[in-house]
Amino acid sequence: MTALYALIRKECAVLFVSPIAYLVLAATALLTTIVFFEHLRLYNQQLFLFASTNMGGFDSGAIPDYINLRDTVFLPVMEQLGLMLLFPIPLITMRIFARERALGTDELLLTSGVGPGRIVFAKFLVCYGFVLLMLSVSFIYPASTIVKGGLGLSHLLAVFLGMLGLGSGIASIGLVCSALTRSQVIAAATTIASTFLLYDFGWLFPFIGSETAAFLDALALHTHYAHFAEGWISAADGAYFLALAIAAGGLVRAALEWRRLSP
Amino acid sequence: MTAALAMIGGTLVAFGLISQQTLGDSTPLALVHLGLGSLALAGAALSALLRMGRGTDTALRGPLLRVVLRAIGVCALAVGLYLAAATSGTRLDWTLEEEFTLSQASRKLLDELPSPLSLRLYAAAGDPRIRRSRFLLETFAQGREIDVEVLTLEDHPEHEDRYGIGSSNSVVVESPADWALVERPGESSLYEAIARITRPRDAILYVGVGAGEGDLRGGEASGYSGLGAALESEGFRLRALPLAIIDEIPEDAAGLLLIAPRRSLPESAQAAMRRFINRGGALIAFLEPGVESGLEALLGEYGIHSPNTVVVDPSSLPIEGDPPGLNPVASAYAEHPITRGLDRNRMTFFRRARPLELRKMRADDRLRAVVLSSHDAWTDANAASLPPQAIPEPPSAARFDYRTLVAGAEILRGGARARIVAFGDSDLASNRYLRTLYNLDLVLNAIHWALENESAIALHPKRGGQQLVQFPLPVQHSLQTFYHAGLLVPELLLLVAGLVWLRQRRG
Repeated sequence: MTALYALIRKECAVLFVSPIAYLVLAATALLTTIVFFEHLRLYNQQLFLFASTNMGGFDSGAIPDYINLRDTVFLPVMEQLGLMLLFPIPLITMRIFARERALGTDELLLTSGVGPGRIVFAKFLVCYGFVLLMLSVSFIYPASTIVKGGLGLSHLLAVFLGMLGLGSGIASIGLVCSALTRSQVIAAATTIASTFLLYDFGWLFPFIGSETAAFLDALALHTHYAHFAEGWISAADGAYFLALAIAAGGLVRAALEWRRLSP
Repeated sequence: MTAALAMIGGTLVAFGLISQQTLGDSTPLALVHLGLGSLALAGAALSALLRMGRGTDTALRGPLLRVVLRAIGVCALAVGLYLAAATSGTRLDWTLEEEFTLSQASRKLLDELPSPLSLRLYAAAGDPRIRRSRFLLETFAQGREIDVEVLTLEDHPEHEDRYGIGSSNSVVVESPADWALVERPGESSLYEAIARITRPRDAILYVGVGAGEGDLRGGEASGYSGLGAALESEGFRLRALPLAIIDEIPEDAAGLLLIAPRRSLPESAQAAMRRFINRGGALIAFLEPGVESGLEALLGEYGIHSPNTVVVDPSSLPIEGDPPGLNPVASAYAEHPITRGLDRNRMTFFRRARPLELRKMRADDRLRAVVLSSHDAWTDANAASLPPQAIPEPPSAARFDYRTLVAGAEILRGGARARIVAFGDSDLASNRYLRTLYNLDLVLNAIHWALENESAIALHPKRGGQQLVQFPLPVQHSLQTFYHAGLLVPELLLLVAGLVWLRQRRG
């Protein structure tokens, strides 16, 4: 337990001793805030477009039901935040294994007596913790608005859990990519490419059969996030993100053990 | 060699799959691609294994094989976990109004569908509402013989003409015999459409007209078209019955509905109604304070008396300019089929109600007060004329008690058993208030009970969307928030990043 705790502390120190982590946090929070206020501005414009009367008053009865804080501001902002996560998370995950391999410190770690399982667990835990922190700072403004806007706390929590699942899914793929190479650039590029590909297969659906579409839809990250975003929590969606983390953990552990065993 | 084989195999398989999927058929070209590609991939895997075997120490082969097998095992476990969870179908509805949790009535309707059903959602690209509508349709279809499809409007212009689809996010509900278009899919509108096209309309409900009764075709706020549509969805055939010119209620009447006649009912109509009840007919009567049409006296003959006063319930709030107390929000229900599913949290709203007093006329009669005001209520003949800001004061002789707002009666006459339901208010069933709280459930339950159709009593879907905020947030205020609080978190993080960078440089 002490070894695991030490490993977690070391990973946290490595992560937060670099300005990249703070820059990534700041950029994500800033972009989310800008996107949020831009949507808020457009929402106000749409409201006045529909509701302004000739007398200069405001008639809320003329506003279509789809223009509201939830559908016009909160959920689109969360969609864009989900897409935005495809870029900052690989910048964090790229370092976690590839950098150690490039510096040769992975050999020290692997021969230190701490099992590869614990190493993988500690690194995954710290990485998921960072995703949680990043989402928390990005979530403040949209959440504070929508909580008064009729979404309900349980729905808000569902959206946050969905974002966390999506972020941890991207991080899981990023950690696998990072464990398979010594180049941080390759790790980041392959993560961005593969998560971008896996994000949503909707664009393919007009060209493929319905069974293949259903199969690809079940594979896509966005499909499972979308259910959370609508306040619909299914065991399958939770299990998808959990399975992604388990499979990624298994693959990364295999990669570390392979490296330790092979000459 | 290995890389070349893998590259060739991957490309051939990818093109084979694309060809197969695009053409929707396994053409010879696709099959050749897939066959050759698979062979090349198998060759690449074999070559890789052989190379690995040659280049690895014999003693390490076992541990390395175990590593690979363990990784495959973990991945298989993960896939198994996902498939098990997907098969379980477990899910939670965390939306504020439980949009994806079907009401009793919807579940009952879907479980008793006489034939397979198709739900087709027509969508324009980028419409954000589609996802929610699709989830709702999938909820309707779960575990039932219902086919759900999402179609793009641009690809099916012929459907636009055939079904009269006017906008994106429209659903066509189709059974083998009929179809219906739902333009704003919600549980309530889908329930009504499905019920309309699948339920057999056997029972004929006659609706009294000609004496100033509420109009079941009136679409205005004070009209009753919502009640008419709901009754048709429940499988009733509605027929107007001009009371002024009839001598008898038709034999095929399953029931007679009278919504607050404003003028006196002719003697002949009252006699016809009396005969109808005495032969076991069902009467559903809505009354209003300040009106004496003869219906009140007729109900009195069967023990349901309605003094011409107004129920004042101090626990109700001032609504729409009325003084407080005049619009009871009822949460006291008797144990009765009419109130099945209603409880203290499922309230009903009355707009100025006339009290009902029950006094048995014969020992065999069964009279029940089913909906009551709070126990602090009193009745006042003058309360209805109070100015908006006035607070009704109880007269010195006022008696505080529960007041009956809805009553149900079973009357035995000449061997025939009739059922009567009387409401002390008719506004609760008007378009303005029918969907308020649980009014629709109360009214439909009462009609089903009167017509001895108790198996149809269930809570109905609610219309959602009321909670969504549609007021502007002042832009100036928003921008100020953005420049002050909005930028604070990123600013702090940037400062920390700068400090860490400077420290790193110095180090």
